[in-house]
Amino acid sequence: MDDLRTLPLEKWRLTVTAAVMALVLLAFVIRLFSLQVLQHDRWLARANENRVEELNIPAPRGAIYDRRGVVLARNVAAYNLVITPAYLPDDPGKVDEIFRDLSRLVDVPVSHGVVDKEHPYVPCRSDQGIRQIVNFGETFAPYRPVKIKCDIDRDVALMIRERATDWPGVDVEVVPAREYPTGYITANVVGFLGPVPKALVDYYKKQGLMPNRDKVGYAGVELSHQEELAGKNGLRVVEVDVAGHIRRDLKPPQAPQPGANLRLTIDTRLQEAAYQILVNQIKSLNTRYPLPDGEPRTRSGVVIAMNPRTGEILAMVSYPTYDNNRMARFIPADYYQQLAADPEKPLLNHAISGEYAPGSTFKLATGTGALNEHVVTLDKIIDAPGIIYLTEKYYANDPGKAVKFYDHNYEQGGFGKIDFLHCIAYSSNVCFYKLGGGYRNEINPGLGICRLGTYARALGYGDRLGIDLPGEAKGLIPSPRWKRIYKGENWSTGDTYLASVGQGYVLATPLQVLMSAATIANNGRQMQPTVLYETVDAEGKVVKPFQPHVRWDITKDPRIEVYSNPAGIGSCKPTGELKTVDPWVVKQIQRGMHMAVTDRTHGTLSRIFEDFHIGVAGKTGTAEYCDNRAQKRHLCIRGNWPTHGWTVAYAPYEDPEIVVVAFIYNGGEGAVTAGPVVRRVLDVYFTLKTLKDTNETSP
Amino acid sequence: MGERTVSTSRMPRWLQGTDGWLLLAVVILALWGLVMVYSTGAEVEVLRTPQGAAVDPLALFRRQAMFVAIGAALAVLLAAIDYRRWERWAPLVLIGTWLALLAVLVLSRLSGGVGRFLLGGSFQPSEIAKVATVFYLAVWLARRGEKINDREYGLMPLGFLVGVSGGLVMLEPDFSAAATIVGIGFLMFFLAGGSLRQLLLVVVAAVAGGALVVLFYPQGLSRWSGYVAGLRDPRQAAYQIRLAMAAVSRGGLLGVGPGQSQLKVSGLPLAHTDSVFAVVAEEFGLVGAAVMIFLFGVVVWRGIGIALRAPDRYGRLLAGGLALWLGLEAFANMAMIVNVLPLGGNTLPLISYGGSSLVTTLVAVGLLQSVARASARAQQAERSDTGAVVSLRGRDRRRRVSRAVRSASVRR
Repeated sequence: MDDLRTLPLEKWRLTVTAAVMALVLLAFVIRLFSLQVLQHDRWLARANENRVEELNIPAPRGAIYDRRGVVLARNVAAYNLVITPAYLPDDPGKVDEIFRDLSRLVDVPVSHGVVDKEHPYVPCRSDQGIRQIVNFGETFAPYRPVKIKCDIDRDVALMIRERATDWPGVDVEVVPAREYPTGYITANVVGFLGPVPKALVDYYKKQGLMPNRDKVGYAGVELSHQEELAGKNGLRVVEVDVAGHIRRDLKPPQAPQPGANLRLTIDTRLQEAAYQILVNQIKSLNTRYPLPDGEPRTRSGVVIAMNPRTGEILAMVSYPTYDNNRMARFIPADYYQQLAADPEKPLLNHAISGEYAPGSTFKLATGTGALNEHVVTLDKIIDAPGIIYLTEKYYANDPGKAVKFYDHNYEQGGFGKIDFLHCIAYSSNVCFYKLGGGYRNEINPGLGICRLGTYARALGYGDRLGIDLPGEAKGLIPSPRWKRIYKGENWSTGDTYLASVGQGYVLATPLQVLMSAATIANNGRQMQPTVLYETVDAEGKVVKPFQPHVRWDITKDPRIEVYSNPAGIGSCKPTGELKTVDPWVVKQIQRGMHMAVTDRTHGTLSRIFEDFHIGVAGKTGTAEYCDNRAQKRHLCIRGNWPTHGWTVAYAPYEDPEIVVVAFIYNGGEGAVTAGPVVRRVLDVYFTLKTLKDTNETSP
Repeated sequence: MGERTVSTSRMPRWLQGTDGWLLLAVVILALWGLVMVYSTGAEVEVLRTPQGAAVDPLALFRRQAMFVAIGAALAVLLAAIDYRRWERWAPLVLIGTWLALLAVLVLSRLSGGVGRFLLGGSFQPSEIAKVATVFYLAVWLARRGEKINDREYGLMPLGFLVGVSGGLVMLEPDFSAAATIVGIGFLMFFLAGGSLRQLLLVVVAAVAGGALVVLFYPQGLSRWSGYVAGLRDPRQAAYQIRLAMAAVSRGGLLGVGPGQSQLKVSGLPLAHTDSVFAVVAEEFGLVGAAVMIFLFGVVVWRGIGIALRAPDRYGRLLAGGLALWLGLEAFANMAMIVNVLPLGGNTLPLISYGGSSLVTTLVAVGLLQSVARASARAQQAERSDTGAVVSLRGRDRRRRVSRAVRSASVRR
């Protein structure tokens, strides 16, 4: 028996084990040596990455006011119910009780669904129950509050706050949300906010924004003045632990700089009036002039009012529009899709993004050019019958074929023999065909497309005007070179005829039409159009006062190109020389526009402004068009195309302070459709002005 | 491992034969452990004290000091008593441990959660289970003798014993403790003379079992994948490992100084228990960590030495098993910190905060010293009484004890 008990262990077994252990110990020392000495710096750098966190502190976004201080966009408090899992009571029964009470208050189930890869927890979006969200938060970072429900009622938020002592760990987080009190009235100008788009994450990160939290402008001033409105987010570099607990600041914290408050040039009263006037006019046109296909004649229009001396946009209506207040907290998918799918494109600001044939309003450019280039003199009498025939020639010895060009009153036999100013006042197409393209020996040579182009550009056509709103379109001033490239054809005199009256290939935005008239009205000084009046800081001090900015003065700044082949049909050959417009020429155009109102016989606007007590000058336009939508509706009947209605006018004639353009898509004759809109907007403007003069209260 | 280390008559009687090197290493480690709990405990108190309540930064330190005192007293007591006295208690100890483990399971199921503690959180039976397993296996394997290589007689009952202990611990669930118990079983089987073929069989079974655990244990797969990812790129490793390695690397050659660890206050999880070695490496640097590793080496070395000199097979297995267990526990913990082994919940003996672990470790040290003293006495007896070798064995108390189990080990 004893030998069993004393049977020795085989020594080698103990020795081997001891040796293995010794080797392992040695391996540890070597490993430590490599970690602590050899790769010390590398590991230390990584270690710091782990515990250092940058906290981005949101800066409050600036508010937006109109020129009189009416709030167009402001921040309001939105309340989120949050729970910090680490601070919940230890007693599970008590936690259950809290969850049940909260569930009743905010209508989130106590327990619902799961949080996993297929059903991730998305703050404010996903539909998990309170317990699932809290459990998720607890495993992730127990000291970080998790959002249980976003945007709860203020009363509920206060009720939860009141019970803070009974409910440890439960809190209400106050976050800023946007509110647009004027909604659709100013939506096109003010715009709306949305989450940082994926494509722009890097761009906005560079500006210190946090893509998952901060919102950025998507349209309007919210987008164009994003940087001023957003301010500068604060930054804290802190040491955190695994639970998300902030330990200390590693660097002095940078406080957030609140965004600037913007005061716009818009007068909400005028804006609202313009909106209603336009909508009423569209409705009335649809009932008075129904189309054979039963569809409403028009659904879309634009009104812009501006001070021609300063470039301040007083009102800018693009109809149809959208309600930006519905997008203030988040963008509802169904509403957005409805807007995006609408063929009238309500999300687009047609005032600056829509490109249409300007029609006869473009004659201001043709007229300025013709007079300044001495194509015509004031005492020259031009024959303006109802129809003229032009032999179209595409190249020098093209025998050509005769094409008819009509005036809009060709049924009455035209205007007869009239002078240049009456050409403007009556808006005679034949007269402007001749001025633009030349006609036999009567007008020889005409202005030609090259010179027409440079005068149009001088008045603001053909390029972006640089207004501080996103999405501005360029419009189009065609040239022989353009036609060669895009149409594969040579330029013909007929093309010049059409371009002279703002038809054919010419495209312009309503703002460009407005600017052409405003430039004339302001004696050739083209002001930079803007919607921003001044920048005000959080305390209400003006940071950047309004400073009107002259884009150029066509009577002083040489903007007109001189061509070596002024009337030529081939490509334009600029000599590089630049010249100005004679101030006298601008005066004559003003006179022509004034006569459109004052000439009782054929003045295009004389009926509209018959009883208007302030001097007005203006120009109408009836632009034939045939776009894909008109084609779809079978409106494009040869020789009788559908037309957009235009009117642009300024007042008072002697000392203009407002210029208004109205545009009605597919409206019909400009004077009849858009004219009354301009007239009524001017009415409102001067009524408001008398109110302001007698009752000066607003800043 | 000569006789020089055996204390002689200059020492008080109850200390005679005590292994001095082992004692020294354990005392240093225990004191060092107190320093570490002092260093890391305050942060834990801050975190777990409810907001607003007063924080007692020394609470953990006091508790740990109390357990050091309890453990030291137990160790002295066990060292003073001959380890052979306990042999007959082995079945009782094992069954008691199993009952305690069962109680944990039942109580934790009742309260609906993970439970590893008894008596209001102050008693962790899985720690006891480790030392109890070593103790019982030493007794059991000693009696089996060479028959342990008989599969029905050795490996299968052994597998059952280890399986029940490990299984109960695993159900808590405490995977690391279970793995440690299985590891101890394997090592002791090896020490007791298990044939290489059978050992190979055990290894294969263990790998298969390990694979099952990884696949079906709730935390198994995530820990394994975290481990694999961490081996490839330490930045992908589990959070605890990343921070542990950050702490280790911050330490550098000489460390940032006692109490100066930054990682313990900025997120290193379980800085006072499982991750304490990282804090040691951070505060004391490579030099300090190497000294600590060396001290554990001393513990294992002296333990093995005691085992080699032990007067009987039971003593050898007991001393060898305890020494290897302490070594295994320490290695598993350190290996985890330096990202060599997958994340586990092993404590660093004597250093980590935790009463059960500390007391159990000191109990193991006490048993080791008891074996050391017994062998010293035997040597002294051999030296002083030249002709008494045979008679000593004949009159030894051991006969009485062995008689109790003779019927079980009768050779046919």
